[in-house]
Amino acid sequence: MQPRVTAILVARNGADYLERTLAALDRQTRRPDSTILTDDASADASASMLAQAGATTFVPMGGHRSFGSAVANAIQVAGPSGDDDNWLWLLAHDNAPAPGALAALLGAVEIAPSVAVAGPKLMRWQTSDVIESYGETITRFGASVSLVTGELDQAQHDRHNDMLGVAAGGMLVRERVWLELGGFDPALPSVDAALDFCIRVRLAGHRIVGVPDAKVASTGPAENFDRPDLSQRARNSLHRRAQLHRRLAYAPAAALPLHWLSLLPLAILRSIWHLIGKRPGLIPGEFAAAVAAAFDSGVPPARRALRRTRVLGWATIATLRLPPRETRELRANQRAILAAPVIYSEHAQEYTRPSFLSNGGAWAVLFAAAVGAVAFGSLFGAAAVSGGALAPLSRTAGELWANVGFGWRDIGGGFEGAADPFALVLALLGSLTFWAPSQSVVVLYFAALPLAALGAWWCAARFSERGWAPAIAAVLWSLAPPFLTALGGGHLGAVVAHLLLPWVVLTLVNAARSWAASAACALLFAATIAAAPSLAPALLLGWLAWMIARPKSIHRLIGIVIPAAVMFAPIAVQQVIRGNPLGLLADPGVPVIDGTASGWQLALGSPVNGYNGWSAVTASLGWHELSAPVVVASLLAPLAVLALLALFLPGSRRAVPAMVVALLGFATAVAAAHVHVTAVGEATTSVWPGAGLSLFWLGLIGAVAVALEALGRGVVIPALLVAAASAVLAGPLLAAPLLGTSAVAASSGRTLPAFVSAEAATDPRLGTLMISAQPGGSIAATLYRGQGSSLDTQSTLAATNPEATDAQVRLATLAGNLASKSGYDSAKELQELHIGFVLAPDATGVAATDVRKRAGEALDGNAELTAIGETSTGYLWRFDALTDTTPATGPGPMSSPLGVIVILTQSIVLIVTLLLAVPTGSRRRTRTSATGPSEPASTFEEDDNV
Amino acid sequence: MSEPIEPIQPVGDDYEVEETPAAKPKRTVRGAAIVGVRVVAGTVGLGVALAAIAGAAFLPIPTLTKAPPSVEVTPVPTAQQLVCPGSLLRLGDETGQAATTSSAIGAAAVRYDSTRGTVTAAPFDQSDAGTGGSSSAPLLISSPAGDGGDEDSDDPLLVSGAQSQTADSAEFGGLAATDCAGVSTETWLVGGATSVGRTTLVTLANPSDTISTVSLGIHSDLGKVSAPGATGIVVQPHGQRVLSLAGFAPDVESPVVQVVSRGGQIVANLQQATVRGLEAGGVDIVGRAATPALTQVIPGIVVAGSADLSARLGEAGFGDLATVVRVFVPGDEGTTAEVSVVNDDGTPTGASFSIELDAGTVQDLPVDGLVDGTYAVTVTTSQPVVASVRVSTVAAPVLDAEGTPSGGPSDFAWLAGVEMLEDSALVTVASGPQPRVHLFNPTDEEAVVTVAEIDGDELTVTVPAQGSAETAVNPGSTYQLDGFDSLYASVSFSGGAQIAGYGVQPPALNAGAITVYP
Repeated sequence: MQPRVTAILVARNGADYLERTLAALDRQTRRPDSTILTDDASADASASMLAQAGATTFVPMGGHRSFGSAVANAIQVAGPSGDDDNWLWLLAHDNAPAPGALAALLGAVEIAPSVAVAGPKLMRWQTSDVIESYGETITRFGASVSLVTGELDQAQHDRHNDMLGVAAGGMLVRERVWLELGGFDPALPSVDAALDFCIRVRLAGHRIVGVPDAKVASTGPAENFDRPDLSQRARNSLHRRAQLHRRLAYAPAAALPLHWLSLLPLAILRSIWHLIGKRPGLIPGEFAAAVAAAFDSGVPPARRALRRTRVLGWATIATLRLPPRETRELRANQRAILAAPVIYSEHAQEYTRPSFLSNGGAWAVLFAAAVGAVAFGSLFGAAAVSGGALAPLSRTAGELWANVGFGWRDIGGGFEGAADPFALVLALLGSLTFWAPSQSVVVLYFAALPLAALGAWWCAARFSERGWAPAIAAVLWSLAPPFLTALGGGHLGAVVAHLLLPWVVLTLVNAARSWAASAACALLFAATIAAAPSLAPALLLGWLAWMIARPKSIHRLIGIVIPAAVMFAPIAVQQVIRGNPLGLLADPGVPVIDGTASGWQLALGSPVNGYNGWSAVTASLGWHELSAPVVVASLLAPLAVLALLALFLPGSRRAVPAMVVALLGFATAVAAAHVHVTAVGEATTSVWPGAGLSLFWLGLIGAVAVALEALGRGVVIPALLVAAASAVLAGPLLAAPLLGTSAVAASSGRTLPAFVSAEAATDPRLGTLMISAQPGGSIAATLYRGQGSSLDTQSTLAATNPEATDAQVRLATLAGNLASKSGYDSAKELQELHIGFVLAPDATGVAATDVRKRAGEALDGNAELTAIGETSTGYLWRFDALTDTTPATGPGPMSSPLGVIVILTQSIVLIVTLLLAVPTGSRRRTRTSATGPSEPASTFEEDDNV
Repeated sequence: MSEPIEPIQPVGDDYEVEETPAAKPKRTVRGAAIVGVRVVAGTVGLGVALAAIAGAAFLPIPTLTKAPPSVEVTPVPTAQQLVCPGSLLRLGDETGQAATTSSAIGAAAVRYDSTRGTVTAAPFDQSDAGTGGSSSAPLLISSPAGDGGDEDSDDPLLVSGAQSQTADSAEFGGLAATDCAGVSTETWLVGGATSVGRTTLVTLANPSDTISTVSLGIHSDLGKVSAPGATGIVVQPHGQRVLSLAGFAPDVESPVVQVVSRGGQIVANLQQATVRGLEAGGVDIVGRAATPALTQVIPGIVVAGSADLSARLGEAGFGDLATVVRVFVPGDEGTTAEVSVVNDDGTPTGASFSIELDAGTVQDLPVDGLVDGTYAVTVTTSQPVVASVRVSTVAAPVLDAEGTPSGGPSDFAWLAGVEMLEDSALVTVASGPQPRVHLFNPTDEEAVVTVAEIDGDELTVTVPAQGSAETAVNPGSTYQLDGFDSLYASVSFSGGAQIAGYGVQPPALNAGAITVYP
């Protein structure tokens, strides 16, 4: 019996395509026996075009339906024929069939009565020799796979015809089977609807064939039917939702709860995978799909329908599924196709970068390493470095990590508050040598100069074509006076900031087009501001300026501040609540008075008095005191001249931003020198201006690099001159650690007398009260616990406290009475505060000596205290009657609800950023091509993950 | 699989053709414009750079400072404690045996009082002289803690005490009087001698509850005396050590002892007894001298029987009857000392002089030609010094059985430099002959000082500017001095072969409030 064919053409807003589609339908060598044209509420001319096409039946439809339901509706309206040999030919408005398409399809089904569905080879609408889709299947985990997409049709797939599923467009399906199975699943509006139908057809005992000779055009996959301009995010979400729906519909009843429970965990895991793959935009869709699947009311009907029609087991279609190995192969092929014709842009080809090994980068780093090893040779083998603003780190990694987040800050009288964000940097640093955290600082001191050179070289190389500029920048940056002064003064935060600044610039520039760079920049940005909060205003300005300069990349740039904001949020809230927002600028570390307020010194790169150590040199030579600034200024002259010259040379579009950065840095340094927020005894100290000077130097060196780049062949003399002058300038600063005149020195890791350390070894909460006479005739009372305050227990909240807390008042009362002849019951208080030792350092100055004498006499005369004697840190008294009392303490970072919230939020943000920052070489962004998304990607971007 | 594809901008000015150095600027209008823009940018940059540096260097940039939080701590008041050194002591017992141990000679008469409340007195438990707990022991005088039961009074509670003892034996004669002093960690004792016939004992009393470790620094006219055993002297709580100065520094005519204690604070005194041949030459207890300062004032120098004194002065071994000012420069640099002597009645003396002092050596400067009267000595230097005055008296000649007059008995007194009083002070006058209170006014304005006996009469003394005055007081009474800003005061006794005196010390008040930065 001759088969009958009813063609069903569904159109929605397809006026652009209908003309060709209708014409193609007309030109069929085997014309359909009847045609049902149905319009799905089109807003354009589709309806009128269909109405005039002279169909057997025209079904104008009101609802906003899917392709599947439009077909079902059309059949219902036209009335099913009831004939066993009646076939339905499903077409969308863009499915223009080749003239012999229907004939070929029918030819395939006629010779095999078991075939219920036949699918054509879908070709691209515009390039009809490229296959859009030919056959679909599912992987072992149920993900749908299009077997062929985007390949040039060379008949290479024509031998495949036994398929698990075919696409909906151009599908020829036996009407009886369609009706028996109830058509497409209404819960699958577009994606996988045909695949699901085909699987059910297979399970109902029929066969499905692909017919390579039947070619039908298509503009894209099923989901494009009603939304041609679908974004990648929406597409991914639809696919995932369809997959989850099918998973719940196909799963055995027993496994259903398991699948349901796995929805959310899987969404999280896949989100992490998307982050690593630099597709953060897909994450919301992932969760939306999981939630939609969890409350999918379409699952029970789908399961009932499947149970009703299934006659075969799942094993029968197992062979048609795609095995994992072939899945990987297929996906690799498709990626290769996407990236296939690699054509570098002309610019990228002519633009070369200096190579690290062959263009002097390695030599500059080696030079810096040698200089650093000599300068800090005295630290070799030391257990810790301390002095100035530097103290040893906690003794174990566990203690280090206990000092992050929000919780008990065991400094002074102790209080509950947020840790400095720098504590996390220290915890990470200290964990590198987890067996002895303080060792990491020693290592950092040795590695500081080469690391600085390395960062500066890569940053400068990003903007250079030849090797001179990066190499000179590396030398200048590693010998920058503010950097060496920070190392000598123990300003670890400023050192870290100096090391990170070039990478911040590099990643910020690259962040405009790379998610990985953007995330890396966010982490570096947070670490830099944590290390030197005074840089925050300047860095935020830079970030804003870059967003204004790159408005199209704003989505990748705007998130850069998020980790920094999250890290600073707890401490910022606390500082604002107590009305001291300026306290946020306070440097982490041991408060110490050493910054200068002199504009001259700052302009000459010296964050402390003494003109980068040249005052001492000229004084020892017996020169006039003004000779130091003159010497320093002359040694800086080549740098300044080259930096200013850059503005006049070609490349001023880079030189101007560099000089603006320098200006910002200088302004930061000057402002920092005039903001006193940190208390040191009765005095206050300025924010460390060295961090601002580092930024100042960054801008200057950037401008010098531009100038050197522009000088072309004339680069050698100026380059060598500026490098030599900087090396000479750094001489006194580099010699200071060798001569032992710098504040930092090798340390045993102890900050308190050995006597105290020995007792604290068994009593980690043992208190030592230090009463230091102040120049103004007052005293400062500092309480140390255990082995002494480590760098990570320091808190800017404590150092910038505007009002004494109750615990501080209590401590002050005790100290004031101990330092005076008094009838105070100091024994009781010492017992309650668990203070075993009182330490009084020697004092200089008239008022301080007097008050030190008063305190010494009172402590000597205190019957509760036994004088131990003079120690390295001062005269020591012991409270012999100390019992095992417990001093006041508070929750650790994870033992209060607030602490847990803070830690969780911060770690989630940091981990998400870190995942996004992990470089993944295979996922590179492709350059746009003007011909539209269906074109193979034409270009490749230069390496984003430097 | 891939990210959304979007248009990419060139980064920085990577793709600026203008920057390719190979591309030679064309001599076009556009090229000229580019050069012009660069020149403008460079000039502006240069200007901004200069302005920034000049601004940072010269503009008065305000400094944002937030004073660190501080706590004003007023120490909990304690009882004021004074220590009276106890009775005169001798080395060996009365028979001359056991010469290395000391023993008491009788007991001193102690008087004390306070402006409010009840004062308690307790003898020390333990003494090298074996006087522990006895009436000869050092006496600890304690005022009530705090305000003495009068919370409303703004006046601080004052307490004072003094002791005196007359010796009358073959070896010991004369009057010894001293005040009961508060404790300190550093005491300068300027006086004593260890030459032949002169015995000087150092007494160290520790009234505190903690062990005190004491070091003695002994200086002589030859410089510092290196004395084994002079350091690490342990004084038990509530105990007294008695040490012979000759044990550390034998045959020193003019010692100065610096006593430094660690641990419990102590009260240190010297006791000097002089025997010339078989004749007792007087006793005295030397109290603490004012700490090294540029000005030392010693009021209350009573010169009596000067004619008899000069008669005996010529006898062998009687040279130390002369009135001397003992000065010592503890620092490293010598100085010129201006020694001025003023009479309490205002008449000039003509005994003032100026002298160079070497650092590190003790010098006894003779003050000659003083007629009977009372004087105040002022030593002014450019380096801190300690000073005291030794003054002697000789009684009228004694007629022996044959009617031949022989020299009368003598006594001496060490009058140490006194600390300046800046506020109301309390002074107890010990029992003794002809007690007087001497006042020296270092200011340029006349001072009218009230000397009010506790529960008794009030006297008014006018002290001329840069001058001194005196008033007779009742023995055994306690007086409160008021009505001055700066004043030096002392008490003297004299009569027959008896002379003694001591300075009025500023009250050892409770420690003042202290500012603590937590």
